[in-house]
Amino acid sequence: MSILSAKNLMKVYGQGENQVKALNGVNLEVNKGEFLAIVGTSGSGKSTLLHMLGGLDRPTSGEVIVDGKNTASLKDDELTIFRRRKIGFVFQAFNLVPVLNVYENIILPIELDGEKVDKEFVEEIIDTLMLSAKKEALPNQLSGGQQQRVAIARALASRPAIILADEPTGNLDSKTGQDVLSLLKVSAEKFSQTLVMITHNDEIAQLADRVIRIEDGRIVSESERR
Amino acid sequence: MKVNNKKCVRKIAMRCLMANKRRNIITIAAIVLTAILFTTLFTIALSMNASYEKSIFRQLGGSNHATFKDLTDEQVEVLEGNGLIRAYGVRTIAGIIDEAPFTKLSAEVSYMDDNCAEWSFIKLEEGHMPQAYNEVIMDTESLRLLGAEPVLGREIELSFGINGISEPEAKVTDTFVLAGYWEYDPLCPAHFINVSKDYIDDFSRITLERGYDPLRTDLNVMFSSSFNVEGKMGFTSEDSKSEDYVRFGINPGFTMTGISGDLSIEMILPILVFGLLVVFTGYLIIYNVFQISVASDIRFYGLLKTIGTTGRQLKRVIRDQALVLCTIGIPLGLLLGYGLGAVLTPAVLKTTTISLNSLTVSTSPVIFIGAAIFEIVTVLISVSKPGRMAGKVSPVEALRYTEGSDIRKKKKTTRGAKVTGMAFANMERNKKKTVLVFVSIALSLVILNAVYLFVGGFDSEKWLDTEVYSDFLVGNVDYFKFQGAGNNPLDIREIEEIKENITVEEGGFAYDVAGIPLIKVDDRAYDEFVAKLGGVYGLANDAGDGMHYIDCKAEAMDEYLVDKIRVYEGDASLLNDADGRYIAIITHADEYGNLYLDENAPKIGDTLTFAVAEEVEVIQDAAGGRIGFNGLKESEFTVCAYVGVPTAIGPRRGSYAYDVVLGSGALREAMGDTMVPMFYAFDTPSMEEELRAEAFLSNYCENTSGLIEYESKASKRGEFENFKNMFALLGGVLCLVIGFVGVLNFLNTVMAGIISRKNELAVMQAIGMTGKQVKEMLMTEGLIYTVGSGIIALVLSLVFTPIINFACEDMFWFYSGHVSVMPFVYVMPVIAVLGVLVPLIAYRNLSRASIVERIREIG
Repeated sequence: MSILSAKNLMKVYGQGENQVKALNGVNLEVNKGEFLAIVGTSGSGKSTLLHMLGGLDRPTSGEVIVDGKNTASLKDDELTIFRRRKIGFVFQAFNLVPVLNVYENIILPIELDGEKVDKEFVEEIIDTLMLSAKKEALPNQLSGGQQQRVAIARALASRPAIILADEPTGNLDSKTGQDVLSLLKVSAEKFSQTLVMITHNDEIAQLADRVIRIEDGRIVSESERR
Repeated sequence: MKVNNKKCVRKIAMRCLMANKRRNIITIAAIVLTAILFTTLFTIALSMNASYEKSIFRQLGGSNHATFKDLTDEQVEVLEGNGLIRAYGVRTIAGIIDEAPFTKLSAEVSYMDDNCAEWSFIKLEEGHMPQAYNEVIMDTESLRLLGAEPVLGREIELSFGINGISEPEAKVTDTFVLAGYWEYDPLCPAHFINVSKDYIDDFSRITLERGYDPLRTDLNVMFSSSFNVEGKMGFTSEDSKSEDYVRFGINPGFTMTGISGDLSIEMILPILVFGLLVVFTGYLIIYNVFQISVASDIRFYGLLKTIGTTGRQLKRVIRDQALVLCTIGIPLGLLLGYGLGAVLTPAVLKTTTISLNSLTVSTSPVIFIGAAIFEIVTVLISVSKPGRMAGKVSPVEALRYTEGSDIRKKKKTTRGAKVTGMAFANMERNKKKTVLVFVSIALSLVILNAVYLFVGGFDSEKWLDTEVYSDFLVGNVDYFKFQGAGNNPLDIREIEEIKENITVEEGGFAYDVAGIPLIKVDDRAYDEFVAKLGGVYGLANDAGDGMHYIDCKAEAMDEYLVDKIRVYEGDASLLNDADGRYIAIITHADEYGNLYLDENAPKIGDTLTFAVAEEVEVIQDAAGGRIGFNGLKESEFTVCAYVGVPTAIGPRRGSYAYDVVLGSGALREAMGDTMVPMFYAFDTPSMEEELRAEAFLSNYCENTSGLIEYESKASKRGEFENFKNMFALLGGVLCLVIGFVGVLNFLNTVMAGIISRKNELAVMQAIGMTGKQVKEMLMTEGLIYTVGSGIIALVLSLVFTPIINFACEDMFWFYSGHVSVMPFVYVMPVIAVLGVLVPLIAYRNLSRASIVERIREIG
């Protein structure tokens, strides 16, 4: 069952001579519970694709349908609300809110939505990601790996339709990167989440169920793990 | 869809607030400063209004809303029970003393209950209200006039006419015991002497026994509000009308409560301009502080948006922060502002006709509510744009945002990487912010200079030239009272005595007419006159020959004064001819020289009959009421000129008819002794003599005479200095606050700029810029800000000074425009030092961390 689909996505920056086609007709289907890796070199358009899929930016043309909803028709604030309900982000630079502690960071998207926090569920996530001892800590008191684990917990906490991870290990040393990545994969499976991850590292990509390669704004190959 | 996420938004707002101490201090300071300005403005405005009201009430002798006059005991009882009346005060008048020593101001012997005493501004300095039979209280001036020291228990003998009747048989003499006294109020229309309830009851019985009318009892009332007093009076008086007609009076002070709504545009405009200036000043800094902080936290807001904070929520984060700062800043500003307003009010009051002892510092909640509302609105306006900016941030761009990173073609520079070149380039990175700092510093400098020029431009000599027509002017105290209350003539013997003690170079008398001055006009002019009176029955009468007498104001002048009046048309010097029969018509001209005269006005060369009546009489006949003039004397004069008589030497009041000036010699020749002296104006031969005369007159008027008063160049100059000082004071406060705001703005910009460039500066140092060079660069930036603002302000001032001067000279005839840059000379070094010191201190704080630490820190 497709939870995310992109149809003929185009994203063009600049005009005339300076025109750059960051995305040039991308078609993509992601099934529920799937772990998809998108690989490509720097400048291939993979981050742009992720931004489009996550509703952070709007495509020049084409459409993105998440959980049956077409994001193109949404206004800015509606898009934001859509994002905090349907999509969990994990960024390379962790992007935690520096003034909030670990627990507050994790439940922030839920609170912003005015929802009641499912404490048991959040505790379970925190346990899974081994953050129980750090709940009260502020982000700047944590190591990089810990920060990224908090980001993953935050992405999971609102039970989104899909988790988008943009080079989640990019800012970590390789050992920590491995640990974080396996935690990400394990928790996505445990909470039956769909995971789309961007990386330029083929080795990491091999952990995914399916890998697509993107170059110059187009999907050039697709391979499935058996 | 309603979601309950306010708590979460507030939490983020509060946490951000806590993390940003420097910004908070500056913002709070800005809020405090602007709140001070607003509160001061409100305090002064409302206090002026309250002082004006109080001075009116004091002149009227009471602050109660209205008075029912001459009531019977039964009527009093009925009225006391009326629901519309919130409080009442009873007064029963026993008699009046208008003989010595109360010739100048009569004394009223009466009983007042506590309310009535309070509303009559009786605040006992010592003692208590009269209780025992023969106890009495009075003001200190009455005691002085009676030759009694203010000692409680002292016996005082008073004699007064029952019901104010001055015949000897109505006179009563009694000995009283002083039970209390209060400070005399020179504005009060009478000396109040209050007796006890027992005494008045007894006295009332005796009065009736002796066959006089019953004593007059008034009921002063206070309604629940001063709104529609007139209507309420009519309504309540129905109640007591059962027996007979009730007279009532409404306190004119309350029918005048419209003064606040009646404020002229000249009053409102400066307040409005001042208010807008304050809003703008507040906006400049609060906007700047938030703009800078949003710009430097833009990635943070982008992040919040990425994980699901909506634009509206982000706006609320910013607004909540501002409001929290308001809760700290506004109360402080209100308190300080109220204090400042209370201190400044006397200075402003001094420049008006309201006497200082009516000073009332308003405690109206409107001051605080109004100022707080203005302040909150200013803050909300100021943060709305930064809020929108945070709300609109695109999550993707925020992820890679650096300040001023518009994708734009950069000019190729030939400056290379010199320190000063880099400083200039840095200023260009965020033009808006740079402009804002320039504007806020330059604004305070321009205002400083404008205030300096404006105050310096008040030319006292120019003012004196037009406002003062003689070195000295001596008249009966009545002449100087507002609207010439009372009408006592100047005692010529006093002038003789003064003349013996000082040297007069040249001088002359102005005279009032003894009796009622009249002119004879035809039907058309008469109809016009009646129409001008608004249908009110005025002093107008059929002269019997198809003409009518109407009353006018007339002033007769000696040659000395005739020479000082302004001639619009004709020849006023003819008035000086004692054998001629000439008269001049008083009028005004507008700024284009057009005279205010209707078409019925006597033409130059016309013959005008001037008459003086001894008394007026209302004649009742078949045709109804008619006014008759008795003891008429009249003479024909030729109109020789249209003239303007300056207020300073004019009759200081006017009529609805044509007011006239006559030569004193000619009037005496024509109509005999119909003149009484109004004032004597004179010049002294030298400055030395002027000072001597000033000293003599000041002493003489205060200590010897008491019936005459004087105006002099010196006292007028003093008045003018007060006026000027008020502007200097208010302008100075404004400058100080705006200057402070400018400095704060500069401080914030420079510090925020340096802190947000922490990484960048560290990178610069990493690639080989020395700490000294960084410091040089930052100091250069600071200097560009301050010196640049100074130059902008200087240019603006030089451009605008002639315009301001032109406008002011047009508006204030006593203004002499001039150009000066002195304020810049004084202030520039100060701000230049600031421009160097602030970046230096900011950098020093920064450089405590090592380069590596700074590079690694996530911006």
